[in-house]
Amino acid sequence: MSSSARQYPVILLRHLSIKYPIYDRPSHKLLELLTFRRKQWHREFWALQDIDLEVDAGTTLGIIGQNGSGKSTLLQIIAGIHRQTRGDCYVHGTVSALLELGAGFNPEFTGRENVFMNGAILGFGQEQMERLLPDILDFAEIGDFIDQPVKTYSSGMFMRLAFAVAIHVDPDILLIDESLAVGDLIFQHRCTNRIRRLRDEGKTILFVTHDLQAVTRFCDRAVLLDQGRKLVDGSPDKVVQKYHSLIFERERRRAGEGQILQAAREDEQVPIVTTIPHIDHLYGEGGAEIIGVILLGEENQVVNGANPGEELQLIVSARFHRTVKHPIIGFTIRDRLGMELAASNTSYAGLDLPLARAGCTVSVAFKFKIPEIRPGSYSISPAVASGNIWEHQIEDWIDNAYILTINEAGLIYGLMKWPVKARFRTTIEEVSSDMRTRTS
Amino acid sequence: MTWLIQVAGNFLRQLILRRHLVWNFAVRDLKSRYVGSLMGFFWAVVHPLVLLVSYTFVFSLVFRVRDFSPVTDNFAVFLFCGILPWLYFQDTVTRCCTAIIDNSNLIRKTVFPSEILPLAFSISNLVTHLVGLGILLVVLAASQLLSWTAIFLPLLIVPLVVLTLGLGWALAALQVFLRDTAQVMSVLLVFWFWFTPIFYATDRVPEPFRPLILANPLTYIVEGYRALLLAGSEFPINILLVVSAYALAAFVIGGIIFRSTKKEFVDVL
Repeated sequence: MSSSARQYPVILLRHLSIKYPIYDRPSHKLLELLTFRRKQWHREFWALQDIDLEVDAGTTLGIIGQNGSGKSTLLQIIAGIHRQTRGDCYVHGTVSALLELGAGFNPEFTGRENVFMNGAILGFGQEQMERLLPDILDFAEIGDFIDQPVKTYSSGMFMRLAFAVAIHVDPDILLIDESLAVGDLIFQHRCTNRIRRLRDEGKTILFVTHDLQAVTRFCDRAVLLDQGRKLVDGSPDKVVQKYHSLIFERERRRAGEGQILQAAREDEQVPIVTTIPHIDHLYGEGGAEIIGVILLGEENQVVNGANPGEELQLIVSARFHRTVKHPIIGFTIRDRLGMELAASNTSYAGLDLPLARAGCTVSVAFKFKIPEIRPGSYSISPAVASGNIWEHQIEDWIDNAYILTINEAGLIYGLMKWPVKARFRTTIEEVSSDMRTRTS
Repeated sequence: MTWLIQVAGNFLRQLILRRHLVWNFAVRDLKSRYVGSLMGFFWAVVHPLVLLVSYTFVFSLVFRVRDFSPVTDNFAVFLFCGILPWLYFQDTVTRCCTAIIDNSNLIRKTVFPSEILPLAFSISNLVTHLVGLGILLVVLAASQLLSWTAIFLPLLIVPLVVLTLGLGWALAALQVFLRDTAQVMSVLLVFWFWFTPIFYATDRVPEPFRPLILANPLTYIVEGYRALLLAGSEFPINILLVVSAYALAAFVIGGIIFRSTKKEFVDVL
């Protein structure tokens, strides 16, 4: 019906659940087998519950979630390493699973021997690997080391070679677990290109990762798993966003306990603002709506760029559509790559906002000094929530509403300038080892 | 019955399909024993040679063992004929015990046909065995003890490999669930060694113990090796039949045990 590329699912999971039996001793498993499972010798752990998933040929699917959410288990089932306890799992086509880079590499053997070995595990014969070898060597760039034992490799070289092998065998479905962030930037770039090419060739790729940026970069689609259940399934942006807010809420909940809030005092000086420069994504229950966000400089001028050390005010104004007993207004700052740099809110700042009636507008001014961070553009995402710091719901959240450019002020290596003071001393005495413990 | 044939057929087809992998593992296993050593494969030749020389010294020069067999009076050669297939059996079985748990990484992290591991070890050990056998053949030929029936040796070697593999599969699977298996086997193999007619001929065993010796499949293999290799013995057609039957049984039972427990490995590895 559709044009050239017919869409059909190559992976189909229906109500899939998997229970991990936890055995105190391996022999309990044998007892269970011998007694035909009449008595249970294990404790249960449901790693995945009622997962429905359909992946069309040619899709690149990112699977994200916190540790222990069942991501890797899902790949293991699709790869055929584990069997599901309930439900169905159909996989159509050859699968290459990269669940652990270099699984099966033997450190005593040379890179070349390990390449052939790995190829054989993936189902390739000598001649086929012979043909792939130049490409693999080219890709891994480990030069003459290929004929050295793998134990002499640096960890980067090891990873590059393992990745190169896995990606050059030609599966219909490629499963990758946490292995994209290997090697230096150039190699990462090459991996990206290679994966793009596989994608263009119509390969189906599933990859599990904590690198959310990679998900939005590569994937056509993403799923968020949480505690063995599928929480969201959809466009990578949306899913990553949901993941952010999930983490955000959990983190706040954890960090917020034990806070003592002081009663808020009104401050007539706080302006009401009504402009929002960018609206990327917004979500929330709708009990309140952010109507403006702005950054003001020391002379109350609108600011889009600032120098480290400068004092700024972030103004967030929100109109309430419902009466909210305990409103919280806050913001998150992310860097260019989407990494959360910092976040704060009224509750955090020790300000307990009073009840907000439907129809009223609340404006909050956050005053802060720009720390000495790496120059570049940073995004500010304001949010309104109701509840307390560990139990609340988001009423409105606008992503990347305000972009702030931090100017360069001296050299900054890494993410931020580490505040250090240095002193020194020179001596002509012979320094013996007990100098280490001697204080001067 | 048709179901069994189908399952067996699938199993065998898988083994044939993954022959590259089997070969790779066998070669790797063989190399790993000599990798990094200066003389490499030369050690495979040294070992049996040293055994043969020591046996000759102890049994032919020191003990002067006589009247142990109607066929030959060279005890070193007699012993060597028996100990070669035994060493193959013992080595392979011992290695198979830990075959799966030593490679748990592969089984947990890749789609890996674990049944090839015992097979690969059977093959790599076979190479060492053939080297020893080559030395024996040269020694026998030089001392004019070699029988022309030696050309039928493959009829014994194949059942030996198949028998060992069957037991290897069963033990490899058992070891996953019962980690004491390898320990138990190492003790058991000592008994097994002395209850196999390696240092003696079967007909010297006192009557009450005869059934025990005759139930032992290794008895037939050892006696078969001697009968085929040493001049003056009869062609051991019965032995070949018994050995083949044992081998087939071990292969089928071991294969079934392995296949039916294989999918549970990942739960306890």
